[in-house]
Amino acid sequence: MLAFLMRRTVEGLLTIVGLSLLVFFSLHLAPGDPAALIAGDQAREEELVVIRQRYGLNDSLPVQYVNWVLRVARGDFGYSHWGERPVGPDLARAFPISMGLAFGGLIVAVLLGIPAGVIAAVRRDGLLDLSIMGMAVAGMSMPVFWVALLMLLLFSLRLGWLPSSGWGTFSHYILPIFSVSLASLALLARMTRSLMVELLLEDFVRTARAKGLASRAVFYKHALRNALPSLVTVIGLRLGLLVGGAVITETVFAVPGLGRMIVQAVNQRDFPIVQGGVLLIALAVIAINFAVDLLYLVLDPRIRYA
Amino acid sequence: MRNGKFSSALWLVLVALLVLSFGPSSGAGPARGTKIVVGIDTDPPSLDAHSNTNLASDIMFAHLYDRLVMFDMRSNIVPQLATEWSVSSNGLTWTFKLRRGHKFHDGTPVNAAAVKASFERLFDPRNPFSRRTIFEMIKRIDAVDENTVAFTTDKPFGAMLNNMANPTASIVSPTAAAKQDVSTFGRFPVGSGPFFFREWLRGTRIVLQKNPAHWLASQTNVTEIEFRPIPDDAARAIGLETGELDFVTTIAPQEAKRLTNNPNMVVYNLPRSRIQGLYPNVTKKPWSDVRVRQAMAHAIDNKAIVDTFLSGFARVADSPLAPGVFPYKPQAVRYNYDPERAKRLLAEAGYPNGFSSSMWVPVGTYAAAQQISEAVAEMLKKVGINLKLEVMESAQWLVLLRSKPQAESTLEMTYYGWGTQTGEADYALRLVFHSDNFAPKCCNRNYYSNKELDGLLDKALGTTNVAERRAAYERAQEILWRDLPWIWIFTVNHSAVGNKALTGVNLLPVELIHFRDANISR
Repeated sequence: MLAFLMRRTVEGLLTIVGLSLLVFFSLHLAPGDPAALIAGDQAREEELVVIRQRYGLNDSLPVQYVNWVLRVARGDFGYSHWGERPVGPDLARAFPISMGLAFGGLIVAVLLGIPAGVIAAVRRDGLLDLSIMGMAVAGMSMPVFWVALLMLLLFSLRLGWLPSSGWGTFSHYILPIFSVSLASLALLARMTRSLMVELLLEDFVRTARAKGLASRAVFYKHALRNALPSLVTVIGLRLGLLVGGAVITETVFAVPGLGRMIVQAVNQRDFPIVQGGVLLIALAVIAINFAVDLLYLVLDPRIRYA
Repeated sequence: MRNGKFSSALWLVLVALLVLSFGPSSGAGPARGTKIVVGIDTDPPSLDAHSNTNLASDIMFAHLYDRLVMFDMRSNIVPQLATEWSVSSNGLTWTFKLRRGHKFHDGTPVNAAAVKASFERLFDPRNPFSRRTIFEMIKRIDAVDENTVAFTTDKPFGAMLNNMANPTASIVSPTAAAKQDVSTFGRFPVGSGPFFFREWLRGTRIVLQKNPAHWLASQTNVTEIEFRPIPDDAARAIGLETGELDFVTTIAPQEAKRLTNNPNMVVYNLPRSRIQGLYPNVTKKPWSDVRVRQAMAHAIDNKAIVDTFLSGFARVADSPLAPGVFPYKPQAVRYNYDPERAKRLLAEAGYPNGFSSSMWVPVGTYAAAQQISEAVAEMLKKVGINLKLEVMESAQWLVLLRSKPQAESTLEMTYYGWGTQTGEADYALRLVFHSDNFAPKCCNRNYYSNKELDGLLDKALGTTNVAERRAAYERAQEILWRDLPWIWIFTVNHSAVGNKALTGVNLLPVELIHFRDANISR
């Protein structure tokens, strides 16, 4: 177990170093000059020189990278080029918001998707199954920005229940969370259904039934229990996607999250924000994958990490 | 029911979520009283008026800060901090008399020393303030007495007053500016304007609160302005319709047009000093031939572009200057849509079968740039000009566009625009068309050179006599309109929408929006 932990830690560190190099160099080698973007197209060359000097953009790329790593190691994410603000506090505010959306979206997906999949499996080929699977296909196929706008039209404009913009209260989270969760919810419902359908034909299920267990116990204790490791894998992967993929949702609902911040920063070639933001997301995804691996231990006693 | 428990669990969850979604919401039309909420498209970079800016921050500066003088709705110069001003007979020294007894939000008196300190901060070469170049003519600032400040230039500086009305000339509190470095001041700005800074949560809101001590305080009943960044155009429109937003400073023309049918909304379709068109490298063939450029102007249906892609929130260009830029004069010559004439001009220039070229199209800088460019390419194809569109991200385009000496320039042609926030021809014409301003020095990036024009622009800048300046710039407009170093298509309009309960919002041609005289009745 200890060896496993150490191996995962080293792997995680290597991933982060590799990723930070990739992000840093792809950003800096992409065409675009932060100084020109800051000063605008109407500024003169001499003004750009002042800006480049100020943000150390004249240094060679390896020097800039090492400087950045050294600062981050001390917990200093640097200053945003675009607007002269320290990046750390902005990241610290945006990161939990995006994580909240991701976990909220996942919880909604699990709470609704798995039961829906179980019901569909139990009522296989029935009307309920068909309608649930129909909705799941729709949920997976509809583009997020479109669903998000429809939700705004319905819940904000027509019904007036929920705010369309602004941030700070629980009600601001509801629409973004549902919009983020939709695709995962649909996927989980389909996954659960097909896993359950397969498992319900297995010998151990038949045995369980034969020994007179109630249907409920068969579904819960035997079938669903055996489906869980596969579902947890999917859930873990989805969470990684959710953490990084809330950009469109955050844009439509004007959520001050990390995704929207990073996309804006890429357009502005605001390197410190992009680098810091991607680093945080990478850390989160690595931590989630690690947690998923540990969960396997709990869910499947046969698994041992040597 | 074998799955009865599952079903009931599912319903329980659904009901719980529904109940939750009924919970406390700041949804439709909360009682905000005299607070107004203004939707903007993106957070400003900084609230430091001397620093880099965008449209959103320029709008805020007129509320946070005062300037010596200000624009009115017709780009005339009107008093603000300065109640009167004069220029010496040699045209070199401008003297401004300041309003007495006014104070910055931190209590520091607004006097001649403060004005001087504010400009010295703007000029300090260590500070990254790229817009200061509009004041490079100023050589000395004197606090003559407590309420008199004088600016001396080495040559007469005809654009002085207009540049003083630009947001860059905002006066910052010397106390606050000395206490904070540039990076903090942009987040905690201190000026003397009709509203003071209260809060900025990045990506969420910027809140300004009324300054009751300001002489304009009685003009407005608005006690608080919340600027709320909402990136999505449709979401901003929905925010207006739900009543969560009282005003939206910029919105896609299609959305604005849709809202004209809403009886609760006022749609503002008003001129702005921004002009758009095609910008060819006039030193390269075939663009070097003026007949080719004129042929293009005849081949493009400007009206169709304005109506189709901008839903009428623009007007067909009729001068190198946009309306609202002194001294705009509509030109008698019109380049009407006339493909036959375009073909004849091309044949005269030696291209009876047309030619091929390319055009850069930046995405994310100008409204509908890609759609407009595609339409233009189709129109040009009809007269034999095959334009290959190179669509690119703004960041990449900006690098290609700027800072290249003529020999290295790869520019064939680009879709391009120019805004003139000084409301005056010097900024609109000299930077772009004077041969002294060839890239990389400044902004003449298609290397147009015309000695007569250079002379007129120098003459107009070098005098403070308004009649002489007007005459020189009117002639300059004629020359440029004939030479077409830029194939101007349209000037951009404000496309803003507000709730009709909010009155007195001023949308100035110089790309500014003022809530200083606004009143809200709920």
